[in-house]
Amino acid sequence: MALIPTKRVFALCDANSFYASCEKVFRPDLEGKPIVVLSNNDGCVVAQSKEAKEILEIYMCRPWHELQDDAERLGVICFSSNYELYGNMSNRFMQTLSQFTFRQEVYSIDESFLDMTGINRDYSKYGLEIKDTVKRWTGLPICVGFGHSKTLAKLANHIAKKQDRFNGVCDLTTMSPSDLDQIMESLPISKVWGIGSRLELKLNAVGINNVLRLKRADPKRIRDEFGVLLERTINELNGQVMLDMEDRLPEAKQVMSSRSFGARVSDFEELKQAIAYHAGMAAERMRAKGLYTNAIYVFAQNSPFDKAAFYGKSLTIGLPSPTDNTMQINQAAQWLLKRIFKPGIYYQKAGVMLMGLVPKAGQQGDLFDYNANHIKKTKLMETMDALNRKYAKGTIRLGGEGLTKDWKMRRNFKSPNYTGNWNELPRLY
Amino acid sequence: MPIIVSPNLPVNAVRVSLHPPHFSLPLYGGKVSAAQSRWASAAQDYMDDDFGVLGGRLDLNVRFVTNPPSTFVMPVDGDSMIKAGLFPGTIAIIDKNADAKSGSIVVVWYGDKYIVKRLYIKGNIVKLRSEHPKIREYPPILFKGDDELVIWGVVKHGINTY
Repeated sequence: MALIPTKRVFALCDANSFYASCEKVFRPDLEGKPIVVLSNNDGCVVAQSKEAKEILEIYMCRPWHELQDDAERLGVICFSSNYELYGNMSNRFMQTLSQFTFRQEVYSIDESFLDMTGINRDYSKYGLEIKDTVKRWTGLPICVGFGHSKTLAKLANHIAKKQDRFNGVCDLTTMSPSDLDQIMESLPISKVWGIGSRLELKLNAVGINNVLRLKRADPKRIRDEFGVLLERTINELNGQVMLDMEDRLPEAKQVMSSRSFGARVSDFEELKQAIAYHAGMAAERMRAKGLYTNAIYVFAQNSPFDKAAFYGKSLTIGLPSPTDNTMQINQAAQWLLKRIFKPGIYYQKAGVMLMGLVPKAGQQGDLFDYNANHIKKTKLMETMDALNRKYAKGTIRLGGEGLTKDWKMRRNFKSPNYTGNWNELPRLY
Repeated sequence: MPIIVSPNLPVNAVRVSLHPPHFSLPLYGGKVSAAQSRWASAAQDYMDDDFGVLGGRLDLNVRFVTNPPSTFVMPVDGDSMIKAGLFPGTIAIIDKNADAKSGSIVVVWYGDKYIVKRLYIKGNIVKLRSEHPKIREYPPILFKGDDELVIWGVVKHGINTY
């Protein structure tokens, strides 16, 4: 750490309407048009462009079929989630940001904290530079907020997004105290990081109905009444760092692959295929991290919203010794599936989770040599992963994974995978 | 759970291939994580240089994808630029960040598709020109007055397969 203590400064960079913006990067004709992005299985609206928010009272997570007619009449363009594209664009965004700081925390797919402590710059200018660079490199519009704590940086980002006069960059660290008070007074406390609607109601009931009042609340009294987390938030609003940068990658404890079926599945064979697919996906993801699994968990359920009684069952099995072998993982998963499967149920979702992950080095053999053919199989898995990477996902599968995947997610309005599939790249004329 | 990007890793040290990565495995074999970043990035500095050599091997990414976050790939489908070496099937490597100047080969969203053309700027005259032996059949696109020309990116390389 620095020998001379300097006041901490954090920046939060957040992409505007990230999913919708990713779609617009590759469709410049959609600039200025209202766009919505639907959840898995085209169930409901999960993201919308600024224009969509303005013209339609589309609330997040309203079922799409309820809105579809109105939306189409108003010219709203809808997309199924294109996670491959969003993931690729997110990586580009994060990588672009990394040049502006020595310490970065990727907080979610579309937001990242940058530690600005000790970077003595005019933050408003620096923020504009960050914003312009991201726009030039990736095409994504973002906003940047600066503050003396992460909570303040988040709040600054919110202000930058909502108030046009800031031009997408808001620096609370140099704002005059009176301006800061005025802005805070105008914001409801739900705009503060970590304050949900229930807590907002409770705080409003005791007269804390804007951010300034929350900032000035007595931390001790707040702790007694609302707990230590809110006390922390108040300290953060006052510029005391309670939440530091997470600077170490927490070891992944589990890898999961699961998905809702496009249509309900009741056939055991189809369910077997789904489980084999998820076992393969989870194993591949785990191998990419160089890890081995100690336990396998399988679940299958119908929808809690179906008319039939809810049926959901899961089962876990510990393995004789850690493995990263898709065939062994699939074998165990299928064994589990047989034990949780009940005929006559219309399953809506199933998945496989690999748990108790250990690095290669920590591996122990077992008496019965579960991993006897280990080296040979590892080569096979590597080849399989490489082929699946090189060509489209799912080129090489285990026999049990099946060829017709009727149960795959419904994505009727999906845009092409513009950045990650040779067959779907945009063409130049 | 937040995902963490390894610190101290200058942007040009992160090698991202265009498609799911197939890194050539560096000799030291270490995974770059926060805990060992100091050592790892020192090793990386030693191994990388700017001439497209990574760990003693030629690396096409280093040579042709100089700025991974702003590099995009689009295959050519039309024949209007064959005199510039862009044939149907050529893989164009596009830098979204590059400055477009007169003479640059640019990608532009035009109407309902992407086109690739040579940018020509002289005074107030702005044109997108094709490069084809039968140039009369490929008239230039003129931009004048209030017309807006939004350049999506600049073609830096074209890869042909024979």
